[in-house]
Amino acid sequence: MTSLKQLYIVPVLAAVLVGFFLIWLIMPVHYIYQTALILLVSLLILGVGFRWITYQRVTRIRDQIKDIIGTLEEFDIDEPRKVTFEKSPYPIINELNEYLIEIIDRVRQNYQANKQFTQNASHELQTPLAVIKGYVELLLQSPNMHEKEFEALGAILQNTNRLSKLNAALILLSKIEHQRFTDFEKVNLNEVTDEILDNFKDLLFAQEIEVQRKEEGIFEVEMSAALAEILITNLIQNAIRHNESDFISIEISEDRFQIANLGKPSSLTPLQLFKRFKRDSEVEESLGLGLSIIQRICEVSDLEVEYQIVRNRHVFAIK
Amino acid sequence: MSRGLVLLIFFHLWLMKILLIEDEQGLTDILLRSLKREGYVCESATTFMEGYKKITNYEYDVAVIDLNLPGGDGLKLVKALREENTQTGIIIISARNTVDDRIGGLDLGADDYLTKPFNLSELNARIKAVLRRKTNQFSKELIFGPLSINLDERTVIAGGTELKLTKKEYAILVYLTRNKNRIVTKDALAEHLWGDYMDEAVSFDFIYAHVKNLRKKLTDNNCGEYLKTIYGIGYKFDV
Repeated sequence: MTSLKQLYIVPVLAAVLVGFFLIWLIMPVHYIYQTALILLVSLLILGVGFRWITYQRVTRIRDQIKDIIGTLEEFDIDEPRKVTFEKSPYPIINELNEYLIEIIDRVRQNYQANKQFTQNASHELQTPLAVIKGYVELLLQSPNMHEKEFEALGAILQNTNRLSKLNAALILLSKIEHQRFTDFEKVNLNEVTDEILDNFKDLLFAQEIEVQRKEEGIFEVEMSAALAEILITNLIQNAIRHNESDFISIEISEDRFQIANLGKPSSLTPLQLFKRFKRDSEVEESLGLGLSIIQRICEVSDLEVEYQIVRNRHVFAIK
Repeated sequence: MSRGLVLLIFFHLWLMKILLIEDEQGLTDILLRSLKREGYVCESATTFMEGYKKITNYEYDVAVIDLNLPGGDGLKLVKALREENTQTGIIIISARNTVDDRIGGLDLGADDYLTKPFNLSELNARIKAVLRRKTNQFSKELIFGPLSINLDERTVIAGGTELKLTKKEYAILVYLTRNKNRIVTKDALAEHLWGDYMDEAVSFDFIYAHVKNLRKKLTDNNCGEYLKTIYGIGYKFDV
């Protein structure tokens, strides 16, 4: 930009030189200096004025581009509100706006169609899955079944169950993403943790896992109670599933819930971890959707989720 | 009147009548087959109006009602049925699983609420529980030879001695007896005991441990032969 600005000096200097030359050619000698001075001064004013005007235009264009960036930053693909830009006196900016609106509309349509598809697909899958399960259950009851047949039915059942669970997780995700949980209230996460640990009591006992709790304060969050329960359940379940020691630790303070377990070093980076379907290859039964659910719940509840591994200690924290 | 007809009418009065209001044909078929197998007399309706006509014209012991019906909300049927008749047990089956739906349904007088998809053995157990509460035909005691389970006092007596069962062992035993002579799958048992909380692999280990303890207690009192393991699938209470 600076080099371009310096270029203004060239036409100004040229004009001055040409002016001098013309004056020298046609003017009587004693007028020459006064005329030259006037010419010089007016040319200078012209130059400065020219630059000032350009500067003003550039600033206005920059402000308008800033406005556009601001609008784009606020843009939420989930919100049905139409994106609008202020009309600009510059045609080039208007043209840019038109293109942006067109692209946004198209992206939004694709996104909605995609989302709708996932949602419909998982809902439509529910009934056929239930029917398959039902028929297998009925077949199981028929007399004269042999071991081979039981084995086959067992395999069908197991896989259908996996599909149902996966499907249920997808439906839950799409519900969260569709903001179906809007019943925000003050939720005491300490109490929620108590309740859920109670549900896991049997499991913890069977796996000989001790829960070390440290409560420094009451962590209250404005969020959906149902989601809070799912969130804490998923965090605890995740910690138990990947645990390699005989304890997990939970720390709760006024603005932080933290759960940690000792585990294998994960082959996934913290960023990859939250992507749907990414999972550690060694833990077979996990569906890889649990962490996505954790993350989405945090997003819609204005919480921050943090994950780090410190010397094989996997720590999840929400703030 | 022929003897057969009299017998038929007598049987009809004696058997439990169940109405199933559900619009998914595939699910209706499977549920009817499962219920008939248990010896209930079943009728089905696939729309709101059909269901409404049936509940206003006939009497049933249990009505199983889906909430999403063509032609109207199943909750209205629950309400209508409750106003008409207080004896009929009502079980809602629904894919809607919000707390509001659940509470709304139970407030209107439903006896139970089952979220889709569910296991056939779960519906079977719930129907029996509702029937026991609503009618006197199902006694508070389940008796199988030397084994008797008192459902009110939650005690189990085998061969004259009272068994000391844990909560989970008792729940497993009651669930299996409610589905007697049927194979109950491990996952149905897991869902019955813990809902959706558990990981499959973990809960199966867990059920295995509980059933092992339960079997030992039963065997020690000569009741072990009722409890059969169907390898890889689940368990069966054989009478």
